[in-house]
Amino acid sequence: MDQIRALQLRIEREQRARRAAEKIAEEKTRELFQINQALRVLTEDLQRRVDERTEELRGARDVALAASAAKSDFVANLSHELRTPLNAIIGYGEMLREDLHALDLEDLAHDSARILSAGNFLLVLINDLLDLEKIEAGQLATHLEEVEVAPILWSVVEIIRPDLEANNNTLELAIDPLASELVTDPTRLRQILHNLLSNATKFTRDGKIRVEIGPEHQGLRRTMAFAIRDSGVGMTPEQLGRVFQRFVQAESTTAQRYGGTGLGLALTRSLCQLLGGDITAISRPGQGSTFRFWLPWEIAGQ
Amino acid sequence: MKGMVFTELIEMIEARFSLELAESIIEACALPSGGAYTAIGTYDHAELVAIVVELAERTGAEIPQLIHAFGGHLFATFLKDRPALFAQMGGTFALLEHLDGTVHVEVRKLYPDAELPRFHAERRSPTHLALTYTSERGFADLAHGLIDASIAHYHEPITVTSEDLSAGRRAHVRFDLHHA
Repeated sequence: MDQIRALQLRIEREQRARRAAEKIAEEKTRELFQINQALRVLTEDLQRRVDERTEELRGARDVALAASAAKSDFVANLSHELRTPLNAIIGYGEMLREDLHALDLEDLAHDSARILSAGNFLLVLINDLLDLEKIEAGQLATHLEEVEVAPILWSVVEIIRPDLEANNNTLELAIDPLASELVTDPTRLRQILHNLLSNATKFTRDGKIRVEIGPEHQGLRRTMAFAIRDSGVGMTPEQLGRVFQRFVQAESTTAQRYGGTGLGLALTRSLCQLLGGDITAISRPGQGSTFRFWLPWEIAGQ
Repeated sequence: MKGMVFTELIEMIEARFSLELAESIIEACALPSGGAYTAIGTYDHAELVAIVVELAERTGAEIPQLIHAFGGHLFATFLKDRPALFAQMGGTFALLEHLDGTVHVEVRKLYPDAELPRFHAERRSPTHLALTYTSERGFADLAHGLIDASIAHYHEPITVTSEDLSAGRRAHVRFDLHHA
């Protein structure tokens, strides 16, 4: 084969190869276009489904929010409605007990005292429930002021002293001299301390309860830390994990044995958080519990 | 088999021998494709075999030798197309170790239907790499040519021995590379 013939053959071959390549390229281009179209349809379909789902979820969320708001309104209204007759029961119960006492009818006075005690328990429950609902609805207002810690603690101790004595518990108070004042809501601080101290008293017999208050740094933030330690029955890790949930007590038999509603610690935590702090608990069965909560020393910006 | 292999083989025949020989072989083989190869096409493997057999007959060279030389030619083509890849690998051991994991992955991105040989590299010691080639095409000599070209490219003192594990079919071969 001479060179010219070879070149001719090569040119023909190259031309055929070029046409084949063009055909392949065209086929590939068409294939890509079709895949692209299919992808676009798929994307549009996906987008449509996401939109539909989002709309469904939005609807479901609105229904749930409305139901929750309606429930909160209902609980708030009901609590108000319950409080009015309950105040009458407690008021007249006190009068009755005093009258019976004056008449030396001690048996009947004792019975009326039990009615009174049940009425007071119901009132605490209703108040706690109302507070929790208000916190959840963002309607519980706080009134911040400079507060002296010691007098508040003493007022709480006075209230729980009968229970302390009834359970034969001793109380130790350790207040750091630096922890004299902080800016917070005194009513809510009193409520927190009362809940924790009355719990400690309730679950401890022939034991010791110790309250420690002192300044503490959380990062760069100055806080006031409160620890309430008791040598009482304590809790298992499982019980501890659920202790701040609503209507949960360490054991279902706790209410029968120690009283209480299971709202107190849920409310206590909500109050701590409302005041800008938080609460934790550690405990071991048979070795007592320690509840520690902290509050900001001063309000941000002040 | 990918068209690139065919176009490169013809190019090698033209470069090493002559244009006339290349066209004469294509004409004599009466190939179904007519030899109108394009790199993006796919062609019957038997056409490649026919061309190599005809080339051996015309030149008097051994078929394994020709396939080995084709391996060297392909290495030069790869090097020209992807200089960065070879610079990044830096040596024959690294290149061979990355064949299946990196290089063939890149090939598959472009040609999903490419039927590639499998290379299993095993570093038996810092200076000993065992590379096992597996392909029904039986082109172990092409792999050998690529390995030798790589060693020459990186100027490495590596000796290569091979053992055919497929009873002479050249479909399953272990190469032992020893770095001095």
